[in-house]
Amino acid sequence: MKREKKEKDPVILLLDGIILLLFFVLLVTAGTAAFYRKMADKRSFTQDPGMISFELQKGDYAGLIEGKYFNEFNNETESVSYHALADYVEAAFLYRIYDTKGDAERADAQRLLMEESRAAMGELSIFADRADEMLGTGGT
Amino acid sequence: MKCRYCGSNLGMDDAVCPYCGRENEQGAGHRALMSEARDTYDRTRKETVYKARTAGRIGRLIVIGLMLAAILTLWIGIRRDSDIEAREKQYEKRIAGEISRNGEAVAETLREMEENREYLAMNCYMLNYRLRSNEAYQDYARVFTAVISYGAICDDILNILGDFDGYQEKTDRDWCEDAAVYISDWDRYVGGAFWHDPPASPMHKGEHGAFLVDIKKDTQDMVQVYFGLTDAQASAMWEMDPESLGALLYESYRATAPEG
Repeated sequence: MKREKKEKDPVILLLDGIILLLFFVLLVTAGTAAFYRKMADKRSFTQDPGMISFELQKGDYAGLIEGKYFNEFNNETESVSYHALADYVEAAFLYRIYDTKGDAERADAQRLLMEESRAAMGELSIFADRADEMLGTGGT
Repeated sequence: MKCRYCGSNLGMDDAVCPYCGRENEQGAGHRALMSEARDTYDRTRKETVYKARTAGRIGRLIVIGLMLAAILTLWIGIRRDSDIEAREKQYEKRIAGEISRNGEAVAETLREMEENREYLAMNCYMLNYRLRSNEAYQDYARVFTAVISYGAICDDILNILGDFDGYQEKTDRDWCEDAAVYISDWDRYVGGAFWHDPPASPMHKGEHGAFLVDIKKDTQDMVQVYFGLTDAQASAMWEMDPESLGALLYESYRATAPEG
């Protein structure tokens, strides 16, 4: 027996269309709300690993160091390896000054910090090598 | 069933005998029952379809209502969280609360940073807790100005070395000129009469005074080392105007690191 074809209710079809539309609106709204919520929860200057990585690719080593300090002051520990890299860059930056000016005591302290930081940065040591090249601390 | 008039076979639904044409009285009750059943079926079917459609519509309206409520709630959240001014006020309030709760710890950390001459850390700490605009830390005005200048010059050097354009297509010359401004202004803002404080003011006496001497010396060393200045040039840089100093820093840097 041929089954009778069900007639679709046009009102239900319209409502289904509205639901589909609202679903996409809801998705976009939820994404936007999550973004602003995250922004609102964050401290003014803290940086996540993605942001630090982006800045690092651009050559923003100053931002790397500052980002580390702001993260530390606000108990953001997500970017541990980047923090180690920031410590390394800062220590290497100071090392070159103290070493050039003959301040052995302060230079040694920075040298020690460099070694400790390099051990904690994992895969990011490639950036430490780049920093050495940039700061002229590679041959030390 | 058989026709009571001619004895032919009849179906239950036959109203008349197809052979003799007489009325099928025996099937009348059955047909009436069947007709009633059909009516009941049609009625029930219509009711079921109606109820199903109504339920479907109500269900969908409920879903739409919930979705609209969720969108509205999220929209209110977006409105609240995207208001930068309100967020900044909220942040300031939170910072003020933290400082009032941990005032001693904040002061102690700042003292340690000052003692250890952690210029960059101190610059970020001061910014993070908005200490420069906090009246309780007014004695640190010159110290804070010094660490800001040190931090800015350090940033300029790192930007030159890292070939960073600051997202504004800034060149090495721009960074050199920026550093020159902070150096030229140093004596006026860090050590000069800008703050209108009396000679015995704690702003530049005691630990703050020693700190200011050290940071100036360390800044001079930093600039001398990274820009390749001679001792004489490094000592004289504080007295130079920003334009001349900017040109000197750029030329000196270029001499040590030719443009690649």
